[in-house]
Amino acid sequence: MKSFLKRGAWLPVLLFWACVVWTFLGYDLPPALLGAFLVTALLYFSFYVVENSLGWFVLRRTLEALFTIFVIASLTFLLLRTIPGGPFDEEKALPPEVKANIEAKYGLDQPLLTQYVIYMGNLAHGDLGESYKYVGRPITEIIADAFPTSIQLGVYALLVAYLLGLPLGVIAASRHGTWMDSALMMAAISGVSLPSFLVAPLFVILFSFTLGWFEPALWEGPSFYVLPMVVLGIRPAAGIARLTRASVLEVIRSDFIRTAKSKGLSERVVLFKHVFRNSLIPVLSLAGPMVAGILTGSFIIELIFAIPGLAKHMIQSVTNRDYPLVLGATLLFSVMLVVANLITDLLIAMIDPRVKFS
Amino acid sequence: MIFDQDSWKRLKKNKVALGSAAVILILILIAVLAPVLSPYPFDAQYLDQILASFSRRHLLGTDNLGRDMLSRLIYGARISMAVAVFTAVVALVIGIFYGSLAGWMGGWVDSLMMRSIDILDSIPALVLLILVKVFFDSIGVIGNPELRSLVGMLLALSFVSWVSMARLVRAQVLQVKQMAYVESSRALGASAARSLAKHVLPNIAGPVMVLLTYMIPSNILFESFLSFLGLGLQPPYASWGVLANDGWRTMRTYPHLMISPGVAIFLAMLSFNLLGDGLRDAIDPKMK
Repeated sequence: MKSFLKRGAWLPVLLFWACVVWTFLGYDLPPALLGAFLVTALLYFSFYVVENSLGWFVLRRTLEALFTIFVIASLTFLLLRTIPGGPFDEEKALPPEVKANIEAKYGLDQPLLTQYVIYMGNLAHGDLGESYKYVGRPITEIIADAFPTSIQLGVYALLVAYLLGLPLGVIAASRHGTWMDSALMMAAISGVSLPSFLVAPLFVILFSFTLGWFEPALWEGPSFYVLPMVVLGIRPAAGIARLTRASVLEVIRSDFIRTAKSKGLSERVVLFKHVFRNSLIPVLSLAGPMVAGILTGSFIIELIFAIPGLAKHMIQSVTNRDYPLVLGATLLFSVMLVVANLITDLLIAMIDPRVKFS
Repeated sequence: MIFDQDSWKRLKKNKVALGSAAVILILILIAVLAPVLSPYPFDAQYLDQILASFSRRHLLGTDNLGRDMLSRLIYGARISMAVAVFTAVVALVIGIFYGSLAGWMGGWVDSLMMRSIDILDSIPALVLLILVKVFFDSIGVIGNPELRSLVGMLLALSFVSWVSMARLVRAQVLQVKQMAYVESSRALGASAARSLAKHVLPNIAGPVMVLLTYMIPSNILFESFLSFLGLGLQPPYASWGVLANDGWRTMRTYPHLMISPGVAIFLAMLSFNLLGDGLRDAIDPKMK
């Protein structure tokens, strides 16, 4: 099993990249490819969990995550129900009978506790109710339509962030104290300080209106994907570059690197085998907050680039008072964040032998 | 990690940090002196000058209602900075209270308090911000809708940003609590509140100050995000985010409307972030 763990990791990773490249080329993701990735990743993960007897840890974290989602669902439900002014208070007042009928249809005439119990019962079955505004459409269907787009954008942006941020951080650290270091770090802190609603229009004006390389809006193919994902990835990339540099510098100065060097290991081996691996840990542990940042940023990006994703639904449903949709979107955003944090913790444990599970 | 005389010396040597502190000071002065500095009233319309570009009369041009952009930007500094600083201070107060309570009590109180924070943290900040903002906007305690949206913004931002402060304070309190000097003061019969105030809090001031400095730009950004999404402040409170939201829809034909508020936000955030870096390096110079 050890050898499988050592050698088997390439398969889910390869399949992941296959999924990314395939969708990036603008094709629909074949269920077989996605399924293959999920199955191999899950298999690999389960082997790892069994091998290191992490079963209880994973179970506990999963239960905690479920509890978190339960509390969030309850709080959001109560918050939305206590907001005065119902979803059907239009500018033109409806006749009272009509309004009563509508409210009865959605169960809004029941006492709050009954509504809550019904909602949570349905939620346990994966039923999020029906939209108030897209009449007759189940929330799950609306979300299922928007979710792939959002996850696609999010994954691309995360990849941009790490593929850009990691090398730049390493370069800055390896040229520590030179003008290159200062320039890169100045660029990074500017990137952290740049609001995306400034970068996005500038990029659109430059790369789309002037140079004509990419499409300025919508989400229909490779030339549509580039601008949103880059703009969304810039801020996290800058954050990663800053953290990578600090982390590499800290590791370079540590005792075990001195030991490795004095053993006579070559510079390359020390850099890649010892420095890089160890400085990756704090950077990886940032993946949770990175995902949170990208989720937040996606609101602005989806609005500016008119991308039909989740964030757009969330904004629209808030202004429309389409509360079931608000609730559903909030839950899904939270689930994404919770899952990202869980995966991050496990990945760190895989890389860092010092992490103890309690 | 104490902010002492050495840190002060290191900070004074850091030209970038000093420069950004100067920029921040200027921004604060602009915000305070807005009525004196702005060439026109921020809501005065010059109907013959609608959507004018840069000119001598209107240095940054005018918007679609013929209002002077420079004046609106100067007043925007007032709103944006006030909102960001105010909410950061509220977050500081709540965070210190909550964090030191959890850290000092320890045990199940600590775990309960921290688990609650974990749950709040599992909602992406902007989603939480939107929910809280919509909630505060709707409960009609304040009749005046403009004022209500401002108060809602203040409450929502404070509500979202205290969490990280509480986490930091708790971690620091846990560390300092075990130090010999705190234990001896406890042994000599000092009350918990006294030990906290006299010995623990002064010793965690450094990292707290750094986080506070980083929190302000993040609040500026969140405020402008909300305003950009149309969930922010209502006129006449035109923050930089509101201006940017007004501007980007016409960015192709009138880019000046979007660029000037965007640059203002960038400049403010950059200065605070650089100052934060400077403070961090001054306290903990090994990472420079």
